[in-house]
Amino acid sequence: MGEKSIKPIFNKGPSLGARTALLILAALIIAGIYLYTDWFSSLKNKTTDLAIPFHWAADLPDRAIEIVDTKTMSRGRLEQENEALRTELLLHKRKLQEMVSLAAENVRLRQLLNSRETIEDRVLVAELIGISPDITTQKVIINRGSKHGVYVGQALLDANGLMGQVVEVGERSSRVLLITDSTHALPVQIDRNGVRLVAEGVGNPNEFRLSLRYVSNTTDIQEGDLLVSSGLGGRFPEGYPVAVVTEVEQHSGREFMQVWARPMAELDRSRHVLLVFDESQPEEE
Amino acid sequence: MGAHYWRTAFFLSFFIGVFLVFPLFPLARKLAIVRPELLCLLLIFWVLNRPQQMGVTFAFGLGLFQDVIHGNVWGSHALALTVLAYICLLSWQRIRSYSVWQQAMWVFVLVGTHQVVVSWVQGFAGYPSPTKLIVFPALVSALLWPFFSWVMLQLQWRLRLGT
Repeated sequence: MGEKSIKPIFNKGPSLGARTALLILAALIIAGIYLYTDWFSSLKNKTTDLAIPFHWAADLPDRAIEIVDTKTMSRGRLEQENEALRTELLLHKRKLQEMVSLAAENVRLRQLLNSRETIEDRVLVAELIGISPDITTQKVIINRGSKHGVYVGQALLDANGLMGQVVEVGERSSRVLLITDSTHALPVQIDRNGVRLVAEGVGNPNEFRLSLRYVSNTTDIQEGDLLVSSGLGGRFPEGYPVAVVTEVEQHSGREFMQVWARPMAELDRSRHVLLVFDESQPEEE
Repeated sequence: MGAHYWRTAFFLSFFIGVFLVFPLFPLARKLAIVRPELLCLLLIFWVLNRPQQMGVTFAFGLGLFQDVIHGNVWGSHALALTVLAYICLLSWQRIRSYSVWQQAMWVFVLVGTHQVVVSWVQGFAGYPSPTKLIVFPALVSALLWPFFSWVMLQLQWRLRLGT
């Protein structure tokens, strides 16, 4: 186990210090370009797919458990689950019937108001294949990419509400920034009275929370209010549920209230998600 | 470029692959904070044992690859691992003669530095850097060091790597 090569007394090439300084400079330049320009955007999209095998490998234990679980599920439990699903389907079907008449009524009313008909959004089902390893950043990676028509800025939903927007698109996968990431903010409005607000991600590693910015002390907002996307930023489609107000703190000395909201989407649980194609919006890139 | 070289290259890339996958295992967010920085430990181990083979350039490349795979701000881990390798290369003669728990304390400082540099760069993107995110991974990595270095030494010996 002896060292074969003895460390040369006179080093060839630049010294360790010089090399380190050069590499530190290179790293800082790369970080600067990444953060403050979009020169890397096409490179970022190309390298998104590189992460797929790593996420796939990380998901193996979970998948194995799932397979064992389905294989060993008892007949009784299956029947029970089947019945529960049937009941749920029935309930949804009834709601859908209601919706048909409501939609018709809505169209009639809109025609009365001479406004354009709302176009039904086209959606694409996707599956979550990984989450960002750094707990301060809240990004997820999904198994749909440019091959399936995904574009940067596209909205991602789960069964309950808005989850986030696509920021990098690879060929077969894309990265999605969640609405609770601390670098994310989106325009919302209160469903009850239409007051427009901005919901900002907090990026708390332990819980998913949104903070509402610039809510003046006189704003009509209360706990339990539903916030829906207002579509004002031009990024998100209008009218999707975003969050529920959980806490309204009024400070008499301050100009604005501190309002917290909990996202409707199950950001840490949903595995099957929907990508919405916003037909009214011209596609970017 | 003998068989030894290729065997070392193979096992090194295998470990790097495994340690890159490790942070991606879905864990509860409360648990995720105590995940050790295995890639740092691997780099420290390799520099201490084979200082001639492991340079700052390799550390830089490894960090950049990690950034691309994990979708962090590019350059953040490249910078942190370069600094880590540099400190190790300056002090490997001393650290190698320490007892294993003294080494662990040194590992705490090194991984802590790594975390500080990473969260400094991430901070430019607007991300918060809570203190516990710097202290806990460093602490867990340091506590893991004796076990980690023992396992790696055994593997290095059994598989005759890097000789």
